[in-house]
Amino acid sequence: MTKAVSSRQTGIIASLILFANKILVLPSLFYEKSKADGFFMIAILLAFELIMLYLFLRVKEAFPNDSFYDIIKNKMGTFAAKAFYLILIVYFFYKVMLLFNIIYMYLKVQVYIDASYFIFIFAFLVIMNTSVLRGIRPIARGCEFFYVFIMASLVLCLFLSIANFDRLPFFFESNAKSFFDGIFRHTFCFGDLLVLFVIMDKLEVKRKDFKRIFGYAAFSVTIMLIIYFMFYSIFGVTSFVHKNAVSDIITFSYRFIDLGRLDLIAIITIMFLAFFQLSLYAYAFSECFVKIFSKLSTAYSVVVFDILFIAIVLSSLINYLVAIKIGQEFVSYLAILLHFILPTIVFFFAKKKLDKGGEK
Amino acid sequence: MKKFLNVVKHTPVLLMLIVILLCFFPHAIIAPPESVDNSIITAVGIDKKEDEFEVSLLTFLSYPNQTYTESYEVFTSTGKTLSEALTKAGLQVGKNISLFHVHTTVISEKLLEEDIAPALDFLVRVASLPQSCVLVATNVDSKSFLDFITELDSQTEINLEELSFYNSNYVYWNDTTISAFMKGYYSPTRSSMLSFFPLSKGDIDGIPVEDPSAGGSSGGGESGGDGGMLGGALGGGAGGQSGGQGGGAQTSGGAAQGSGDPKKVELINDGSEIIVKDGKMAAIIDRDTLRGLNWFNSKTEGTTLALDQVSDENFTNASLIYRINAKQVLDNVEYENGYPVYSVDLRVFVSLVEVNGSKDDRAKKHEPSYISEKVREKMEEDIKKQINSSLMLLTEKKCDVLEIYEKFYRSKRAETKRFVREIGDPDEFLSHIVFKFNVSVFPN
Amino acid sequence: MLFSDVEAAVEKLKKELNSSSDVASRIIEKEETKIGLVFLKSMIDNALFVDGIYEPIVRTQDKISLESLTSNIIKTADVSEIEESEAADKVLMGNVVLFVSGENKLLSIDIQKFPARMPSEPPTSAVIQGPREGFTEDVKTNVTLIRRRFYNKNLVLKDVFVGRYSNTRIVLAYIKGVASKDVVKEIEKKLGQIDIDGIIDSQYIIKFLEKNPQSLFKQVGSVEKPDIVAAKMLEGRVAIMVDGSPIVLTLPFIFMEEIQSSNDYYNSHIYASFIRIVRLLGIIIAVIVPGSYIALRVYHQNVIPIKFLITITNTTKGLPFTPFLEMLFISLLFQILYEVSLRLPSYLGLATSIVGALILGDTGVKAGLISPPGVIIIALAKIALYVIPEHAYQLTVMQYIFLFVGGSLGMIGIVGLFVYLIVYLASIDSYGAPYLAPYAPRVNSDLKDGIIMSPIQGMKKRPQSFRNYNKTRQK
Repeated sequence: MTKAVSSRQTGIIASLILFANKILVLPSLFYEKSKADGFFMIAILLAFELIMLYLFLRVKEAFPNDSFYDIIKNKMGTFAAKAFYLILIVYFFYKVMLLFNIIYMYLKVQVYIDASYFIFIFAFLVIMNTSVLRGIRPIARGCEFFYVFIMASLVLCLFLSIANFDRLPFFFESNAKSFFDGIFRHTFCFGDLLVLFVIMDKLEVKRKDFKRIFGYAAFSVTIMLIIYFMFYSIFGVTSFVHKNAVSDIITFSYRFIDLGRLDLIAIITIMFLAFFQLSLYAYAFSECFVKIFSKLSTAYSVVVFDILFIAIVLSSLINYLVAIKIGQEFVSYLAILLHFILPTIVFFFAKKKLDKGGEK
Repeated sequence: MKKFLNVVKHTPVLLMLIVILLCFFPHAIIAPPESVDNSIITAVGIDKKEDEFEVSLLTFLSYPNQTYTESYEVFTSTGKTLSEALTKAGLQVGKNISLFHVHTTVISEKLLEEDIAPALDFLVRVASLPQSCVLVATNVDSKSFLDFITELDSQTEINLEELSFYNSNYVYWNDTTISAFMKGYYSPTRSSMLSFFPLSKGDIDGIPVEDPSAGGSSGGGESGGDGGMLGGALGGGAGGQSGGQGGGAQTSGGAAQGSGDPKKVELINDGSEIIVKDGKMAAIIDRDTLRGLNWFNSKTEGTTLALDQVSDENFTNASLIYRINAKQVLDNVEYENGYPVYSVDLRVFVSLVEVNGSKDDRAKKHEPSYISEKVREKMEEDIKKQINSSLMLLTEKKCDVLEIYEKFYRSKRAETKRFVREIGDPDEFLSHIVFKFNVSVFPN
Repeated sequence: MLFSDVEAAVEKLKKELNSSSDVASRIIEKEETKIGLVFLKSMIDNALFVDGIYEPIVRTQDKISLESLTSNIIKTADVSEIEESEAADKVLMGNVVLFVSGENKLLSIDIQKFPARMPSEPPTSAVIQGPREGFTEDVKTNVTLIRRRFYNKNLVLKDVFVGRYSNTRIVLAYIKGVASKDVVKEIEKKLGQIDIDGIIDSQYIIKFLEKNPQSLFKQVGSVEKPDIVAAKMLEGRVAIMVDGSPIVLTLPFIFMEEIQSSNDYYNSHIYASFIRIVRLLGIIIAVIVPGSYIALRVYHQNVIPIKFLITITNTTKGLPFTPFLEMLFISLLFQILYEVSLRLPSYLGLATSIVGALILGDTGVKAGLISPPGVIIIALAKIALYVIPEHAYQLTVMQYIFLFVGGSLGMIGIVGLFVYLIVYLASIDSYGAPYLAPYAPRVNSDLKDGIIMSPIQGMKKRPQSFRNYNKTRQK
């Protein structure tokens, strides 16, 4: 039986999920920490993302048919597996809340001045539920369908932003302490490739596809680096004002004023991206849920997710600022465990198995 | 029931969609267009009146018509803070104030006596104001200026947006948007530039607009002031305010009612700019100074250079006017003996477009590429003179709008830091720079 | 059973056919042999009956037997021996059933004839250059039209009869060695499972063949021209012809086929690519534009460029309707006019268009009931529906859904619905073909016949998006 997601789709999922939370508010958060050296911060953090992708691919190579849960269970026992998955559930739910809040804030300020909260809750909830219930295959195909459009729009945004290019940013203005502290504090915006680990048993990835998947991820990384570079070049000392990096870089100059709001391209692209990213998070959430409560079906995970989501959003328990604060204060520590320790442990298992296979 | 549950089981999300849409459906039916609740504002004027902010909004008013007539009205209100003033203005219009379509923000010269950044903070913070909005300063209060713009638009079809667009593309050295201002404000040199559009009563080279309320005031006596709405503003602040109300009530036909000639008010667009340091006005740059600064700017082309009293092998005491076709600016920064040296290699490509002189002179040299050694020398000398006078002004006002400090900082960071530490005040940096110019002119 | 009493057998058959008024019989006595003929007067070719069957039998000198009748006497092509139990069905299909005394079998002679159209160009699939034949309601003609495009033994035709009362003949056509056996089997199985009183048109069986019959989206191709069917069969599809319908169904079906047209293959591929982009744009405009217009006016006024905004606000000021109701009103107005003009005779069509365009449209605007931008938007969207005329009804429904969502949720609703739609379509598959192939999932070799088309020489392989054999098309 062929698996649900092809290698090309795996690459595309990796490529799209990498953008989550990184291209709107993060550049200005970085600037507050360490000026234009935020460019190096993102470069370092994205390098870690690529390392994570490498670890994932090696793990996938060693265990082509096992799920992540099975790997942990077989090597470390059921308790450890359930414990890790419980943490992952919380983590993915936090990611959903963070992305939802960032997107909500962005759209509210840009296009929905008087709109009610419910519009966003329902629009996103319906898509997340559909995706979870229909399975990973339609999500992957949907990502594949829109991939060219999304990437073309982002490249177009970058192209248009060239007209606003002002001057090269000043690098090396910050001190090392705030630089590394900044990196550590903002790890909560990264680690999106954990989604791939959670759905790994549904992916069809062969060794020969590694380069291709890496290519997709590297393309996203390149685009993000250029976005950050353009952002700091265009806004310079006022970078801290601009919380919506991608759409701000094309509206800065009034050279295009006759064309109307050009940032509409960015807004629509961000909407598409957000729908897919949230769907993937929600799917990962449901996967973890089903693995922990193996007797319950996906439908239950959807119900639990919906109740949690609506309750938390409506009670404003986690809003925009809280989400970012939680991220900086708590999730950064969690991230060390999830982004570095967990993949590394599993990678060693994989390496052991691969070495053994090589001896034979 | 069983059947229904079966349907739910097969298409849960579709049903959810339907239920949600049913919830939103009544809203869809009754939701009015946003234009009912939100006003369309195309320009904002900010002023300070006795410790209170006065905000004037150039508001688009719609009325049913099949032609493309646009009608605007200026609404004014005051408040302790800008947001309070805007809320009050909203009450007047009966709509929410939405600044998304603002293309120009006008501030008065008076406001520039103090730091304007706090006044603009609201506009910058509220993302609804486009960052590409142009910041314009004027010599009257901003409300009168907006009134004037409305008249200008209806009488001459010239609008401020196009003027500032033209200026920023062909005349100015830099962008004059709010964002550009803010960038300058937060930069190490803390200086930036604004476009300056003064209004004038007399017959200068400006864009004239007939003041409708001037005629109206003699006939109907509504405004009470002697100058009408625009003239009143130039006469004094209080007159301007009362005149404005009179002007708002009438939209046309001043000349027909009035007995004498209607008074003219002119908008002067001579390319002058205001240099702002720390948010306060430091100096007004006139056309000549701007010309000097523009030699550093390869963007502004198509300007002319006039040489008077040229005598060479072909001409005697003639005025030669050259058009500048292109410029190449190559600059270099370095430290010589511990002092910053800013050297510029300027190459100008010109062509002869006009000769004013005797009949003989005019009959000569119709080749546009004509240039003689003497002309070349004189031209180079003139250019240097222009640059020097502009730089003197900048040095005097300590406004480094050319961002020379940044150039030094970028390429010689350690030395610049050391030098600034030595002189103590970074503002003094400009006055310590040694300028070296090398101008060469080429016919083109 | 030997027929000793032919009259009785004929009477029995007539009775079995409920002695309908158009059932006729003849008894010919030839020495000791009696020959009985039973047929439907309404369903046979009279001249052929006389010249090919009746006269030869009467005039013949040979000894009458089933064998001599089949080989020498009867002069029509389609003669076969049948059992008595099949007799009634054969008569109903326009055959002449022939009893011969002393024989235990019957002869069935097919001289069916009824009024039928000649193959003519179908109105919705007109081409500028290319074959102009179209299918007719007669399945026999349709089979001929297909058969004459393949002089090859591998063209396989299979008959299935469906419908308790109509007993409609359905012909499955495919090329052996190209079409997937599994697909053929699956279709046969599905057709066999149909238990319905009658099949009037091929559209009846579409719902039985679809995997998701609840869906708005058609998952079976419907074609009106034999050249297109032939091309699709060469790609490995199975054609299903239903008697009484000029529409031939093809399976498996993918969304991309909606954008392809036979014209594309008869023209330059560059032009075809351009036209395909236009078609895609047409679909997007038709579906999204009215909804987006409402969303912009209700939620996102600030995104509209100022010049447009001024025009829109001026022209819509003072309208009695909210934006949603206004668009719904104009939309329904168009829908009613469309339905009316479809059914009215053409001489009245002019009158309706005058009423529609001038009185309702122009006067409506002047009276301040509807706004010019609204009329323009709806007109644009409604015209764009017909870039793919055969799927206009799906797009119409989508248009209303988007209208609804645009008014309720604004831009995020529209983008969300779009994503929902794609995720939903991506989950459909039609007999092993992913609905959105070759784009989701990407099938590289099929992209040559995608939106951007490559010349015919470039399409070296059969489509890989669905199951078929013998992948190489040209070498």
